Amino acid sequence: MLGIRHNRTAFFYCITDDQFSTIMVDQKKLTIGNSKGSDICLEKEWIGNELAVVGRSGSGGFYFRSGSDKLIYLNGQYLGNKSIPELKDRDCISIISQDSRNWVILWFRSDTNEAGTKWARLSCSEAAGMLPIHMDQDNKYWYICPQDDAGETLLNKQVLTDTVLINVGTTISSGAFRGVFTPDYFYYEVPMIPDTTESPEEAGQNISTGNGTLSIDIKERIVGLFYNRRVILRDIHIDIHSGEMVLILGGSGAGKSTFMNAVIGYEKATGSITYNNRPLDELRKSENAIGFVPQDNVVREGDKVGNAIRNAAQMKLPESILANPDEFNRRIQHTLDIMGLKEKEKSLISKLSGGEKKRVNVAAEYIGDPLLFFLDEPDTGVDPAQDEIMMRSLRSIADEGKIVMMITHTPDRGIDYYDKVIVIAKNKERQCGELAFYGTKEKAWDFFGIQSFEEIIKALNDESEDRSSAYVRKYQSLNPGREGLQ
Amino acid sequence: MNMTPWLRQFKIYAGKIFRQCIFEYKWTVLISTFVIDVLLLMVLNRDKMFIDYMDTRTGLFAIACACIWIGLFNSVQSVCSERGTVKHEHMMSGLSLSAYICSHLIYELFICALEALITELLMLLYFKEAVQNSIFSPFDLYVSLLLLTFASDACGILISSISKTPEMAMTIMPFVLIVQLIMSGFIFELKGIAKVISFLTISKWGMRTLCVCCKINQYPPEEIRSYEYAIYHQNIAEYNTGGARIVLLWFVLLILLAAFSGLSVLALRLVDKDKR
Repeated sequence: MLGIRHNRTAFFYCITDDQFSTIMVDQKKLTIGNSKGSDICLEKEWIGNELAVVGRSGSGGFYFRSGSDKLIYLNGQYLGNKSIPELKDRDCISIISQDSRNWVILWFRSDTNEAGTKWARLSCSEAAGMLPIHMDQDNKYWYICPQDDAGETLLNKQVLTDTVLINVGTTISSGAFRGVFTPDYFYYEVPMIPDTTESPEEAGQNISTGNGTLSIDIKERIVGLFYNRRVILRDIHIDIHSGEMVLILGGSGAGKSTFMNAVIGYEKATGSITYNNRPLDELRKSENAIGFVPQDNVVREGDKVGNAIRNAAQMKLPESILANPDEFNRRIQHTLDIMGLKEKEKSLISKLSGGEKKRVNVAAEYIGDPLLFFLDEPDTGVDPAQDEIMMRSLRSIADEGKIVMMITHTPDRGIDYYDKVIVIAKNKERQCGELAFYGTKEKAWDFFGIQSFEEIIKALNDESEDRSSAYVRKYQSLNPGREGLQ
Repeated sequence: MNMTPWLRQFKIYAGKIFRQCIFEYKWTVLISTFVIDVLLLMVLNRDKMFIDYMDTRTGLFAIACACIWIGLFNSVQSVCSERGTVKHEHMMSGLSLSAYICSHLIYELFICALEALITELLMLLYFKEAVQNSIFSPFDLYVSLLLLTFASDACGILISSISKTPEMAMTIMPFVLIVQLIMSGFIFELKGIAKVISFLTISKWGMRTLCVCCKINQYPPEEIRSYEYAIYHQNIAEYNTGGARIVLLWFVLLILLAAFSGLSVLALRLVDKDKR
């Protein structure tokens, strides 16, 4: 998760090329610089000892004062060395080095009603799906243009009337999205869950419906030929939205991996799988939009961890990032960091433990920044502590607006991290896997009458009572629709 | 589109394979090459090799077989042992199968170059006196040994690309070897369909290349048994060194090499259909 919830009434969200942090403004004077003596230390050489001073003014407002020769922009307007005596809510300060190669963005918030803010980011290409932005003919620069049929778009807090070039620090308010551009990303505020008025699931949906929907329509997955031909999975029609982390549960041999493989295109099934109305097959082939960690290790064990991740990045990342060695290395280090592999960067993969190997597999897929992330038992052989690290990382990925779907045999370990649950059960009458539940985890507990995912698996595996067929029938009788039980 | 360019993929995978060679001690194949060559030279007749026609011919056949064995063994498990990874990378990361096979080939070329060097140096040392009295070029012999080993290596890559598991590859390999032996035209005089098949074997062209390169017709036969007459007279024509014949034979080996490589890429396309 990029953002942190705060109770304070004023703060800056600070975005640099490898860091996102929240700065509370609770004093009269806070210095921003790269020295250890700075109140807010940004560890960048170019920033210098004292980049700026921020604080609460006598009138109760908040000020910003530049303390260096850096170029300062307020909401896209060049300020020179001027100070900003009174900051307004959602003011955006861009601080850019003299050679224009380095930058820091400070996004100011003072509105107490919206203090709890979660942030997410999308690559510019992904943002193009929800904002009126497009790339020029040379594929070099992004532009934003006014929309006739949609609501008002504010660019740097001004109504947008013409097509305008997007720069670092350009802010946009369009529909539900308020955010700022960096060279590669659009960082945007996601309304956070108010404590009492809205349930997490409702808020999650509000966030995600605008971004993207994975529509799964599997009619049948058939295996075998002639007399051996049989259907092993059928009739799964559901929608999953961006920002959701979905657990796939099921009894042994029910078809969990078959389901996941069919969604990805690893196994052919009749029906259609689309993301925002685009066939998933097309997305997979053309844009590396899918990350998949299969059951078996797929990284070569005769290589070092750092090399394997670096090669995966070279295969998956766009040219713009590969051409920028600093950004490329930052991503490698970031990935190693969040997967807890920094210490193992120079280790041979064959010498790692089972859990560490799994994390290398996850890292090799995560580095590609996929929109949809599928994991088939990524926690096999992983101890609880390592599993917790991995689950937290996966939750962060979902919070960035991605879809994370995962199969696990220890679902209760990460119980708090999942938004929704898909349960595949074997319908004994038809001898194939069918949907026995789709919906929120709370509804799953109500539906199965069990407060534990592992107990649900046990119930599905209970051969004596054939409960799995009963669950399939029960779920179908509820006619829950594509969104499942909410 | 975010497809990684072919050349970058080639570099990535070549780098990966060379690193694996170091980290997984795959260079130890050079030791096995040395051992095979030493064992082979021990059984060859030192007094008659590169002196008598029939002994030289038998010796060169044994060396050709050793090169085929070494080449096949170099690569027969190289692709199938990571087939699951190849499927994953092909489907999820847009891996170019031709770049992948070419990266294997460049690594195998490097290994084969060292192996051919080991084989030639041992031959030249062991048959030092006879070689000094002969008139063949050591460079021609090196190129011939290299191409023979490398073509066999490419054949190993093809077997590996067809096979779904290393076990399957190791089962197929003996069949390929036996075909190379019996269809070489060295042991039996081939007729009909067998003769046609022999044109597709590395052993036939490899054997011819070695014999032509060593100018085998310069060595007079001491004694030819009656049943060897026909094959001897046939060979006299086949091993003729006139013109640029050796270059032509190298070219044939290169065609075989290219064919095995192309077929490997085609065979590997089926990787997407692999089941769990």
